Amino acid sequence: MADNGEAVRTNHLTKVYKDFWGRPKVTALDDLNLTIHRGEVFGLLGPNGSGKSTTIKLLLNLIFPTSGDISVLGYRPDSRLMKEKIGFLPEESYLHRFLNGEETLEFYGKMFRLDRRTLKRRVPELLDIVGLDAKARKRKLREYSKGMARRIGLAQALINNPELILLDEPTTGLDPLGTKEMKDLILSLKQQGKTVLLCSHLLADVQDVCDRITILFRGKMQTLGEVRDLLQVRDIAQIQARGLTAAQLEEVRQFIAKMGAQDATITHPTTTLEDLFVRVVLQKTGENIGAGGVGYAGASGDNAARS
Amino acid sequence: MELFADNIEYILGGAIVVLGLLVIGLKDVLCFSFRRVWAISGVVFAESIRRRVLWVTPLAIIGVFIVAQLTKPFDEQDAIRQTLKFSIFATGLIVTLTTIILAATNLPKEIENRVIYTVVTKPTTRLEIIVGKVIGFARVSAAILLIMGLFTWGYLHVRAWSLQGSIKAGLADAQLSQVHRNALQHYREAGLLRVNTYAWSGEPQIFSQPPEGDRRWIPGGDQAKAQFFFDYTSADFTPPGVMPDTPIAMALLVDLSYQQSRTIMPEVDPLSAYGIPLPSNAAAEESTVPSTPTPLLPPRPRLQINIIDSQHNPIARPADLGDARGIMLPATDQFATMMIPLPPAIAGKLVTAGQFAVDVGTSALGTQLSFRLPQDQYQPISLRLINPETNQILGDLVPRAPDPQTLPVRFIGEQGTFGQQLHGDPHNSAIAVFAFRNTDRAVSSDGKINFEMNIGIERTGAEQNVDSDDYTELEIRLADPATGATSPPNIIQAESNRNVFFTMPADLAQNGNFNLLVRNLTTGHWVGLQARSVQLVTGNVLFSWNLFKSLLMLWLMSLLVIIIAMFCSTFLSWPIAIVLAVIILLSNWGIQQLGDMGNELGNQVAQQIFGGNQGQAPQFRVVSSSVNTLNKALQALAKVLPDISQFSAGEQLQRGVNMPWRQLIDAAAVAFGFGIPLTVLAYLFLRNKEVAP
Repeated sequence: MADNGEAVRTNHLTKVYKDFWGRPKVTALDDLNLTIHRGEVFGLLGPNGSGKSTTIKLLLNLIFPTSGDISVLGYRPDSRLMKEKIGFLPEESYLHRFLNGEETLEFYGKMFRLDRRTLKRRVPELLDIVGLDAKARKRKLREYSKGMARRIGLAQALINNPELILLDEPTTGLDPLGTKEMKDLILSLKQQGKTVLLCSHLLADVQDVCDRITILFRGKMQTLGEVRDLLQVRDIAQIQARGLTAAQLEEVRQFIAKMGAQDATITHPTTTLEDLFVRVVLQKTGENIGAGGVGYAGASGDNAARS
Repeated sequence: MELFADNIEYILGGAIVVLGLLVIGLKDVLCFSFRRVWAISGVVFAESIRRRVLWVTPLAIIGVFIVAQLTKPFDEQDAIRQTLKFSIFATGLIVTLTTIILAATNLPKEIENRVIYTVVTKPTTRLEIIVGKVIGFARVSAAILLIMGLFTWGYLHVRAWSLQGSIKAGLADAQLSQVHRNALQHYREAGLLRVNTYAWSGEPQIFSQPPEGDRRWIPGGDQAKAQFFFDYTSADFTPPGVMPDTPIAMALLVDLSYQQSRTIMPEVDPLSAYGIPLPSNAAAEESTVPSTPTPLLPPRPRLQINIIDSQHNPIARPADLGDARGIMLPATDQFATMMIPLPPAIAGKLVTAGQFAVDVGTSALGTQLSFRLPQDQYQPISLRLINPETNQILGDLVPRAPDPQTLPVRFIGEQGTFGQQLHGDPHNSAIAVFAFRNTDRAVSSDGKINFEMNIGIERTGAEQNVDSDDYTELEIRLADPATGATSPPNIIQAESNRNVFFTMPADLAQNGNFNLLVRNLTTGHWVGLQARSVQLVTGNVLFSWNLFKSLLMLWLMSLLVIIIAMFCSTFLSWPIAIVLAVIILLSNWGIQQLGDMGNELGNQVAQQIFGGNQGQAPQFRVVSSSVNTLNKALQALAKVLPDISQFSAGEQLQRGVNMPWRQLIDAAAVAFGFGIPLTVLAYLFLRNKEVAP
């Protein structure tokens, strides 16, 4: 199929779940028309039961549409070529519990027919990127914590260096540090020109990394657009400055009020709780995120870029 | 149409494979990667091993140890045989149970816990997933079989070694019977784990004296009968040039002679013994055989003719042919042809049946019937078709076997508990002839060939009450059918169901064609004989090799079990999948137990419900025809279900008989003949299945 800059396109996509006798039971997705551009981070938002997971399952051919068309990277969802180019991190890390970390990645690598030499290089590289240490690599997945399971799940999604990555609730189960690392990685992937489809109900995460979002409710698309545009309050202006005394600030406030501004206030900005947590933990451990090889950012991000 | 019906399972299987792989799934076939399949199978194998599936083997081994210690074998060879039986049974049981549970639960559980998400979203096809899982579980069953095989091999060798001490002690016992001593000596020399290759004759035939040229004799007193096969269709009963609706009369033409070699008193006349009174002038009328005009001869013997259909249901009994006592033989000891008209009702049944057999014998003691079996078209019996209005002969139907390579006649003895019975008589017993043709021979250094015999022996009521170890004495001769030369008799002693080992001179069996003639010399003993009662040793193979073939047979069975369980799990939850898999595996066997009884089953069921005298009642006919229709439907269903009786892994191993490759090929044909189409069906079901719950 021709590449027209679209990573995902759906036309009138509808999914109706039926009962044993074939009678319609639930309309999980109703006439979804969606386009995701190559190279963007796209957020799929909505409350539980809104159709987010159904959309992802349809894109991955895990379920079949009742009506409508789907195109992923220009291919039909049952195309093997499409699967060669995507990576998928499911909501929970649904992996073989009796394999260890390395065996898991080797298995998924073989699904892409990666040769032995490539696997030997790629597997430790990915384990480094997601921050699983040597001890964890040899442990069986059933012994992994939830955070470790998310990390190995992410590693298997990246094993083929995909063009499109579908992340279903990627930060679920991660601590704030892990959440930050995950978001850094998503941004890193975007820098590499990859497309990321993010499905989450943790709105702060989505806001931090997504270029565009859509909100689904009861199977229907409610809104679609760039995050900045959607969140911007156009009739309120904000001025930021560093190094002013309290007297100087009062002068500025009076100056703005003279110019006719209503409800002019001056406050000090607050950081996010996540930023505070990361700063405290890193100061305490004295570790450097980039150099220590425990996170996604910095050198690890570079690794991802190289790979 | 008949070709289609006979090969329905292969046609159906072939259609599924062609449609599934070359039409619907061609894209998946073209990108099929064995590397991905092997990777999937590796995960299945590793997961099974790490879930400690192999822990079932120590449990089975402990079970075999315990049961082997609790059994009471009747000799050392039997101890080995029973241990082997338990071991192979335990191996088959755990490999079947393990694989059926693993294979039926795997896919539904992967869908349920969503592990399948990360697999199907990779560039593997659902065909590769199914094949990979089948191979993975086949690797698990191979691992179980390897462990159990090594255990069986080791345990049997240790047990055989320890039993040699018991053999030595037994031989030192002066009180030991000769039969047992001979057996122990053989065990000591040949070992307890020997595996031989054997040659067998066909079913033994019972005669009153050894066959000579084209002459055959059968004894009277209901000891044996000649059975002639007719294999025709209804159309064959209307000769060319005869209008289809022309009424046809029939008569049996029987050409034979008889000899009365025994004088008996009138009060023990066999007909009297049956409670049938002789006519007042019968004695004078019937004792007129010219060549032996002795007043002590019994009345002229009668011929009993029975006609049965292919399911052994009676078509005509002696009473249907004119006289319940039978038909009186002609007053000559020369060959004479008797013409026996068949009533129209019997003739009609023969046309309907098409396939039937005519049994000819006599209940007269001391009488033997003689038949001529020349190589040309002449037959000792034929069915003559006659135009009843003009008495014109329309044609003769001669005996014809369904298989043109086999003779349409056999001489069979009375059936007892253990097979065809050979009555004991030191002077005048019948002869069982085991005809060995084109056999290999393993001639020992002293110019002998080795035989093994295992027979069942019945005794008269008086003998059974005697608490003794009396053996049965048999006289064995070896005869060259080409020259008629016979070896000197070899007198052997036998006990019921115990192996007897004997040798015969090889010089009369030079080209592998010979008859083994067996007489029973012990009065009051009835020897039961079957096709496998006497076997010729033609060579030997390693026990390990035979064990390997048995394990291979079990592996083929486990492969079929895996595929069936996997197939069921693609559209059912795992508990239901296990139940359905068991049903599919056992249905063919179950239907075979019903047997192909034709329309008799319906009649039997209806008779049980309504009693015996309501053959014309409408309810009777409704029940009868319904049961028959159901039976036919089940028989048809059985053709498309796998026949697990083909996976008989332990029988030869226990008997120390080399398993022929043919048997393994037959088992492989069932495993792959059903397995491949079912794998394709499983793929098609999974291909169209939404794997997200």
